[in-house]
Amino acid sequence: MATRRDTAMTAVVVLTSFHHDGYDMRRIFVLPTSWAGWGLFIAFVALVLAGIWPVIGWVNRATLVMGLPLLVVWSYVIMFACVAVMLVGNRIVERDDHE
Amino acid sequence: MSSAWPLVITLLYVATAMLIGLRAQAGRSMNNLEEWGVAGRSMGPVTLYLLIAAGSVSAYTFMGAPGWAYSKGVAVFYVAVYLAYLALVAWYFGPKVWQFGEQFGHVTQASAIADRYQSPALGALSALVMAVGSVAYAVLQTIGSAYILFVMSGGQIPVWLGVLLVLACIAVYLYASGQRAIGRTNAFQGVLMLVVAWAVGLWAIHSATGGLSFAGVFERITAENPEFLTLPGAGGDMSFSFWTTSIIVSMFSFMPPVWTQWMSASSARTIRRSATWLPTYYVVILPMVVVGFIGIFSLPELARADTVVLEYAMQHLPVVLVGLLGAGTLAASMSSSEPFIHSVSLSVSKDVLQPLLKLSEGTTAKLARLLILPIMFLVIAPLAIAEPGSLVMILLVGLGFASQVLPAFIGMFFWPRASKLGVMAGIVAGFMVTVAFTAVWPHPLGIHAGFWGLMVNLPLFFAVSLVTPAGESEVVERFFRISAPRGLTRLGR
Repeated sequence: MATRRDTAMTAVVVLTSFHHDGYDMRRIFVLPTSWAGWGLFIAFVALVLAGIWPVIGWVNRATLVMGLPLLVVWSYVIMFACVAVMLVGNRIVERDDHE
Repeated sequence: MSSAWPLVITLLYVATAMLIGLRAQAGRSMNNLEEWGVAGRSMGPVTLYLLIAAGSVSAYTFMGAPGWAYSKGVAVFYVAVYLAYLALVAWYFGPKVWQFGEQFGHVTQASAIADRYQSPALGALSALVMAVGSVAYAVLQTIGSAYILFVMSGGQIPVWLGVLLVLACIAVYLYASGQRAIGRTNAFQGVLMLVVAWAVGLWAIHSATGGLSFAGVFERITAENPEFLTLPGAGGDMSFSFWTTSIIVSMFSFMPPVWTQWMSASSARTIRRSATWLPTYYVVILPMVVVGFIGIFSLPELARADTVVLEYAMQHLPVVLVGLLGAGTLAASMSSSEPFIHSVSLSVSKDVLQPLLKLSEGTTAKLARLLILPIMFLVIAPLAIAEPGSLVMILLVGLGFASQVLPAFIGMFFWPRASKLGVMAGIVAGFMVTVAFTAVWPHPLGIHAGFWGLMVNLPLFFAVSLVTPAGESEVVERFFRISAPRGLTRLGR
């Protein structure tokens, strides 16, 4: 069974049945299936981007913030942001009642 | 060092760890893989949090990371960033891996690979090659443990004896209680490390600056050595590209003991709860690294950078704190080596010897317990005592391979069309590139060798998968009911 949904992406079909005969399996991927899921996915990607180049280049300065080097503070901001995003993720997953 | 207190405190820690590990058995029979291998899938969120946290904080945090701070500067914090990302990885993949284990009976990573691709050969291959990196990692941690005993005893316990003592201690409780011992001892070691790191760090800051603020240390570094506060660091070798690719490669290295830890949880929700708070544990890194920065101006002539904390402690800290530092560093190395030893024994028994010799489940479980002895005393101990110069190279190649297994996981979690041959082609090509760019031409253009491997591996994996038969639809469906509980998405018409 397949359900078509309105998203910014064209021709996206969510396959709720795993009987994939007749479908082109090459194009079947696991992607978020709700707006909340997409939001979480984007937050995960944003967190990873925050810790690598080019973002890391923008905080690569020999200045101190709260007595610590800016890069160190930024590393811990990322770490605690990860906790915050996962807490939100827990609410979404448990609200939707699936693992 | 004239006082006996550091050695007494360190040995007291060893005795306590051994007692906790032995008591973890609590009268249960350990002659089955579910119990010895994954603790009967029973661990609660706090134990799991400390198990994963202590397992990922190795002797590197107490010796290597301060050494990096001492020689390179803030570049060392790439470790903190990738450890936080590993928590994201655990949050997303951990519950699914737990469900695979619970529903399909997997106790190892290689079992899951063999099942998904219906290929015991692929499972055995991944078990064996992962074992190379795992053994090298355990050897490095054992060397660290023996070095600590050598220092704490003022040279009275030679390295060979330290190696045998530490391995004998781990062997006793690992044989007796398996993954339950690892869970309990790691919980104890995790708390100990956190307390010791902050006690030693704050005391060192006070002795160096007269206050308890990090600012005193870093204001001096800013004035005298500002190159330590930015990339590429004082050594000039931590470029943006190496920082970035090291984080990406480390993030995608799904090491086997981590899977075993996920499978030991009492539920999928437990893993998610533990993973959520996991990054908070990594505040343990900060005080140790700050001692490395203190060493820049306090111990400018140090011969070995990774001894900076020990040297500083022995010169400036009270003997009780030196002893606690010894116990904390030993806890860090033991808590990291025991999951790898356990994982190698479990996987070689389950994924290599069982299919090869057609062993029953009961015999395989007994074999897994016994196998830790030859692994520890015939492989790890001689290597740790000999300290071969190529050991770090073996470890780097082994860890490089770990990231090259990524296609197997893409086919398990994201793309049902992945084929066995596609995975094999990607792994073999990626591994060869990683070996070449580690041993022959290290990290070309400042990009991590494992990242080069992935750039060859992934396109080949997709291309070969598309032209070779997909896995059995029944198996694919079984896995993707867990990986994609709300359905898959078809892109394009």
